[in-house]
Amino acid sequence: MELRDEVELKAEYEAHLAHRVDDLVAGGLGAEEARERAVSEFGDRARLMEESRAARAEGRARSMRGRATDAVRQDLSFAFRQLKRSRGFSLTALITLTLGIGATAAIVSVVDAVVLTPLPFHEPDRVVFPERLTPEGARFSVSEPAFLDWQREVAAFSDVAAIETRGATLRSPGEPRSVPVAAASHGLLHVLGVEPALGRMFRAEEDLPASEASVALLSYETWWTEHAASPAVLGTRVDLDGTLYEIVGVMPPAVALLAPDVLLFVPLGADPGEDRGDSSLAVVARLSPGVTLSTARAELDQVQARLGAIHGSDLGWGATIQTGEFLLIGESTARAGWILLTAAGLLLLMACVNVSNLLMVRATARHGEMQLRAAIGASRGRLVRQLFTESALLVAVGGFAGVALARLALPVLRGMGGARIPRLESAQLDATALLACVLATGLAVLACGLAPVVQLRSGTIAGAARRTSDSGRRTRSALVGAQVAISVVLLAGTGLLLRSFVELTRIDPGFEAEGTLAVRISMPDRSYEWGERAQIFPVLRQAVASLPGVAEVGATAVDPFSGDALGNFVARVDRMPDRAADFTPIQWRVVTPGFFEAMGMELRAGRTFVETDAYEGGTPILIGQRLADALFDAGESPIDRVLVWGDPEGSHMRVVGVVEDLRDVRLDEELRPIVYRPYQQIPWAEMVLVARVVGDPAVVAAGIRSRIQEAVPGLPVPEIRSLEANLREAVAEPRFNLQLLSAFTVVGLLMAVVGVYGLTAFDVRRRFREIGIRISLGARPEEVRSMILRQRLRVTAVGAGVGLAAAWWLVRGIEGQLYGVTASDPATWLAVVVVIGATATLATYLPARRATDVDPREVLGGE
Amino acid sequence: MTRLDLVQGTLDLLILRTLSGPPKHGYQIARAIKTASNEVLHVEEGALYPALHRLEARDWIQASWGLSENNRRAKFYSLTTEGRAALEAQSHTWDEYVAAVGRVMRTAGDAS
Repeated sequence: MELRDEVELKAEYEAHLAHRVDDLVAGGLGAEEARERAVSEFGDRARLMEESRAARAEGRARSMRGRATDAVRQDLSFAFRQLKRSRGFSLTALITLTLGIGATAAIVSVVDAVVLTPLPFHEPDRVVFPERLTPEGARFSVSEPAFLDWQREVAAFSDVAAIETRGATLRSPGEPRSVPVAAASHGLLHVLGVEPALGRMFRAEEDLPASEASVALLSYETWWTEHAASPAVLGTRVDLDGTLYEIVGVMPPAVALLAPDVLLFVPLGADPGEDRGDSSLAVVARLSPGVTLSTARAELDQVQARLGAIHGSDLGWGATIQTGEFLLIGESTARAGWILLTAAGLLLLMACVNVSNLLMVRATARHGEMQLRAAIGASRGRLVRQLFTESALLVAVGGFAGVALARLALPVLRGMGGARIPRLESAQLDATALLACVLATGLAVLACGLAPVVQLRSGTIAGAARRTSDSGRRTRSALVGAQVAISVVLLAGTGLLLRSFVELTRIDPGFEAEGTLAVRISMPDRSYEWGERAQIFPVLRQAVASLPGVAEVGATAVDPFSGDALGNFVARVDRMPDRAADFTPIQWRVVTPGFFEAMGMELRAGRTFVETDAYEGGTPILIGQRLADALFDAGESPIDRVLVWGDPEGSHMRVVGVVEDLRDVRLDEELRPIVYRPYQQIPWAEMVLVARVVGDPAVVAAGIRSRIQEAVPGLPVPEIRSLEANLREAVAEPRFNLQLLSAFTVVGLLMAVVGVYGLTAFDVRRRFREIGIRISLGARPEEVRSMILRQRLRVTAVGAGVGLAAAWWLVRGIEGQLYGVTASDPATWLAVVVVIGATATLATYLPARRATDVDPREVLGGE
Repeated sequence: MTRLDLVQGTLDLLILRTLSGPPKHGYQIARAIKTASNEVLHVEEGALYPALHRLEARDWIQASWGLSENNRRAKFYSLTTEGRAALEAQSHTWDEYVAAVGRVMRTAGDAS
């Protein structure tokens, strides 16, 4: 090549020179002179040859590139036209891809944010949560002296911090209102290994019980929403309960996991002299380097035992350590996350199967076209490339639409979860999840898109067509069967969760939520004396009770299903309890007269509290039915019996009544033994006023607000809501899971229906002629129809069978989420079979019917 | 008249245009450009032949040896179909380019 090029170039240059010489001679120059001139004009021939060679290479490269771009553009436009022609197919495939990719990506993002993302602490597996254990082994919060003891004595912890949430009245800036604040020890950020978002944390000297310094940190969320993240908040002052606090910093977002919805953080000022029985702290600690969780647990046990020997009130109490995952993410949330991920994976699988099926059907239909094009000279490479482009185009468009869908779905999902699911609000569209979805789907689609070309291998047109469509049919039937199986699995899971959810909502919480309004009233220690508080509530009660719409009114210290709880222990005095182990763990509530009536709780024996209980000697209490049954035998009346409170030296209390049991912490838990103490004897700082109303709650609510403000001016009145809202929050997480899983199941079922319908329709079309002949030969349409139905339904039945078996095995995994229904609940499984049977039959029947309605002459006439 | 140096892309365009008529060999192409531009544009061999060979490798022009008007052997070039399409496309671009530059030359600098 090289030599030939060189020879040709030389010849071309010679020709050029010769023509130049001719021109010069024609212009009057002599032959010799002309030649000289021409040569000198021409320049360096060697260099010219080099440049020409380089130019040639460049030209060739450009040519190839141009060809490639042209070819791709051609393929794309051809693919686009092909897809447009089979609009039904393209649309179905696109919608399937969009749903599959979009839904899966959104769910993966949610699960990633809520469950999988590690906690936002430094070395999160070293951050642990020590707790106290009652002598019975129930988990309990920590007292200030115990916290300080642990900080000092447990070497397995490199640092320990504590936090508690309380309510306070924010006097300024703005209108006085009741706000949640948290008190934290100064080592909190150090334990978590995070820095303040702005400013600084409390110093040790500011965290002493008798400290004069009043400093506070703003919570991250409040800083963003109310101060637009302005650095100017530093140095401002807020008035909490009459004391001015200076804002010296902003907490980082990580702390919100320990104290959500809190406005401010103030120093805890843990007091070693506090009552050891007064436990309200949550403790967080960092493990010392090299220490394992079990070592720490063992040491904590020893320390706690030592403390129990020294302080009688701690005798018999143990301690344990929880991990961050357990406490902050929660076992049930984690499990729910995995369930949803599995469902999403199944859905994506369905989408792939669906599109693959569609492509295979189309491949068989285009088999003839492929053969023809191969026969007239299209190279196999060309055909492969074109099919590849079609599939790639489908995946690209489907992928884009899937991303858009996921983007739209995420805010909806975030809103659906409500406040109860931690970290849900930070769910972002996970780029890796999206990519994985698209790749997975893409592979499936591409693989099946190439099926027709692979089929080209075979021999003659007729023989190939027959052979390949048969084998294709088996694969297609298998794919549709798989879709049915997956739908069955999804249906079973959703069905069980649905039943469980219905059971949950049917649980009797022990009180009447309908027609009951509640509002939090805070009277913090700093603003109100003990005695003052005792006076306020009777006044409030009277003011509100006089409203025409209010039938009963009372108050309680614990807002139902808010997560608040109060625990302690009691024992019967006549059983002579002298050790902690003799005591029964109970929940207790501080309530006012009118409370049980307002909540619609049934009085089983004795009486409820009255105002005069304040002045009587001895402490009257009411107990729940379960506690009564536990402490007293069937024949004994609990009325007028005496119980000891807390420990062997505790005060004595007299039972004056027994009420229906109350569930106010979690709906799906066992009933707890409850003791009710009168407000007049312990005027609690934060109470929830409860009112039973008749008539329009909104109108009555406004009336309640004005009465309260009249009766006790300066008392902040936050939002008045219905207790039904509390009940709804209690089931927020199961509801969320159910909604999501239902969505998946519906989509999955739709896809399966499309699959079954499509396959039957295609089958029927293929046997068009056969059907026509049968009918014209005297077969009745119903006979033909039932023949097709039987054949198709056989596939569906096999798929359903496989699905049922798989579902039976898989639902073990959701047993933990179920309430009130077992994984083998017959009603649910029956429903699943009925639903899948009905939809499959319908999806098979409709196309079969359409086919047999055809006029046989039409078919035969086409011969 | 000053002799202007031609940018490579422009030279390609001129060559393609020149070849839109009957086939020509290298020397004829240079002469045609010179004449058509009223002696303003002189195309050096050092530029002409690399351009021709690049265009040939690109399949925009094709060549065959033949006898010239002076009875000498010469390599004659002509446009391919692709070359014709390329010529049309690049002419459009050129027109737009010229118009745009002209607009700027007339008006820019007047406004503040």
